[in-house]
Amino acid sequence: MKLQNRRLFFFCMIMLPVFLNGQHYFRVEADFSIKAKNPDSSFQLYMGKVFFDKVQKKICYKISFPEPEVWVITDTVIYSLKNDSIKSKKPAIGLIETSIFNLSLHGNLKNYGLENSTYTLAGTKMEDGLMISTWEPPEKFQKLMGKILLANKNRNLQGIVIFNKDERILSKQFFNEYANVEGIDFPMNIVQFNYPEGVEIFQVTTFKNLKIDEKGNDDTYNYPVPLD
Amino acid sequence: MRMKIIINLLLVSLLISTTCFANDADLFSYDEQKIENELSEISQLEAFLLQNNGTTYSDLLMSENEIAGALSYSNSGFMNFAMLEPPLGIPSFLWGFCFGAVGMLVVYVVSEDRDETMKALWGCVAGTVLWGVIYFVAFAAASSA
Repeated sequence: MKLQNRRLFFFCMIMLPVFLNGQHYFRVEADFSIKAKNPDSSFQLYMGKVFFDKVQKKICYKISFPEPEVWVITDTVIYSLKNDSIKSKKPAIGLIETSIFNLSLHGNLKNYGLENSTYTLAGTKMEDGLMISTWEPPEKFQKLMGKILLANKNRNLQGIVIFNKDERILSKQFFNEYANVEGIDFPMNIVQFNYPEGVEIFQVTTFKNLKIDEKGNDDTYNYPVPLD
Repeated sequence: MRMKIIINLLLVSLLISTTCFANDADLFSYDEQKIENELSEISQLEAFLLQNNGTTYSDLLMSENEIAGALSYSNSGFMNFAMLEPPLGIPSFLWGFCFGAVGMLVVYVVSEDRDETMKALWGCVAGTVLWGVIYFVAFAAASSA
């Protein structure tokens, strides 16, 4: 084998896993609706489409109701756009990595990505057909953060309970109605409870028409964020 | 007598451990029917909007839609509802504390919010003071050794 061909062969062998990985599960598109109850007992409804591209590291929410609006979440900033102009922006870190879309595409939703975080598994137990696992933050952060409980059933995440450092529940999420699309298990219904100042508020997120690895719509998957 | 106490203690500890287990399982249940009932009107509105694509909240208010009266968007924006809050919440103070002047600059440029920038500034000051103390102590320890 000539030296040049040999180099090409070794390059391909080394890059093969990268090529294979890149070909599978890199995009999610779905119709979504979020129905929420406010603390004052009024409601909010949001509807639209969501696009996520693992390679571009962007989540794009194209909202149709209450008013047409676009939200783009990047690695470091959340942008709200109206008529393609920036309406607001806010710094944020870790939203892409911990988003349900990214976790699902990577097959990490079953432990909510905690396996790859600074949290450590403190214990597991079976109860009522649920595998309940307790995750604890690193010792140096235990004065700031509390434990997290996960419940799994049939290898799918069913629920997550997040505590603060004083063992008070901050949030509960329930992942229901899993659909298997192109080999990806995705919860089509998520119920979330939050407890700001002791008052329970909740929201229900529903996904429909889920598409995995859609071809086309590149401009939306990599939604251009205008300069100020 | 001693045997009776041991058995009672064992029973109590068994009861306590069972109760702990039950508490954890209870955390993963909720009243689905209650949620469904509470959101029934909003679900009707959702069905209507799916059939009438492009209808906005303003359109509903103009047409004096009854269910639209139950909606309120004054308190918070979409961000609070799309699970977009950072999971571990990195406040502006920590940006300044961990990344110093650069973190402060990030907060200033991105948020364009004076209050948030001030929090980052205090974080930056606290971080600088802490590192100064650590440096001073380490230097003193090295000199005395």
